[in-house]
Amino acid sequence: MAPGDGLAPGQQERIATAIDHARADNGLDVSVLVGDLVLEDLAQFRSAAERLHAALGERADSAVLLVVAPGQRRVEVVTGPGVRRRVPDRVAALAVLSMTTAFGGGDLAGGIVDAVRQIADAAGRRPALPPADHQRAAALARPDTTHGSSAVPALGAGAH
Amino acid sequence: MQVRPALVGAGLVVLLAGCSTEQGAYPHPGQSGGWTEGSVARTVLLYVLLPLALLVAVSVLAAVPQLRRRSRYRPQEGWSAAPVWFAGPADPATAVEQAEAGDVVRGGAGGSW
Repeated sequence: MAPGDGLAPGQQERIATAIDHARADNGLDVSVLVGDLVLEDLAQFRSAAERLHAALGERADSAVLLVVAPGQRRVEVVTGPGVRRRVPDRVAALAVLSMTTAFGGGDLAGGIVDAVRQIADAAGRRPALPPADHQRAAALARPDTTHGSSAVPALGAGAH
Repeated sequence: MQVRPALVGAGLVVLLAGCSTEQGAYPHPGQSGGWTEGSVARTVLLYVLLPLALLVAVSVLAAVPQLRRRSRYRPQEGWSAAPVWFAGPADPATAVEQAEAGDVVRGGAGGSW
């Protein structure tokens, strides 16, 4: 397994478990996307992340989306309008800070897990949500040969 | 420096030659009934293959932790893996294509490392 070749099965398991804990203990809908985005300019990262958040559909209003782009070294936390009171921007900024610190040290899964816990703790307790379906986690796979990397399809103005 | 291989080769030749000699050639009587006596294959096994096997075993044991650690993320080396979406939409590709950010006011924060 070459470096940058993705999350190990154990790491994916840890992230999925953290998400399920947030749903069960805090009734918070958290989604995590790990992968680089197709962007002409990194300045579009926030708007691309917001569009990914919108892709959550009916859940989007009350969902928190973490977008982690390990190759582009960018992370974005997007909170829906219905959950902004539970997860204020201040909490999101703290989670981002702990993530960037962990990612800079090479701990991708640990940073994500800690951030999900931080956000869930700050969101307080609500009735539990059913466990998320993680089986389709890798359904986005599509190699982008022009960049030598994989990318989320149809994102950004200049999608290759 | 060809001295060392030559010395090793000479030593091996002497060793193998010694194994195939008659019983009387051994200076010490106690050695004559040895396991390697009279058998080149046994000598090779004992002095060549076993040390090699030991060397390989130690090398493998030393390499295993490194191999396991290679999956670690290194910021400088980029990222070539396919995107993984935990608790994402049922059909991510279609959902992303059809998604419209709209004029909804979303919160959050971002950063880089």
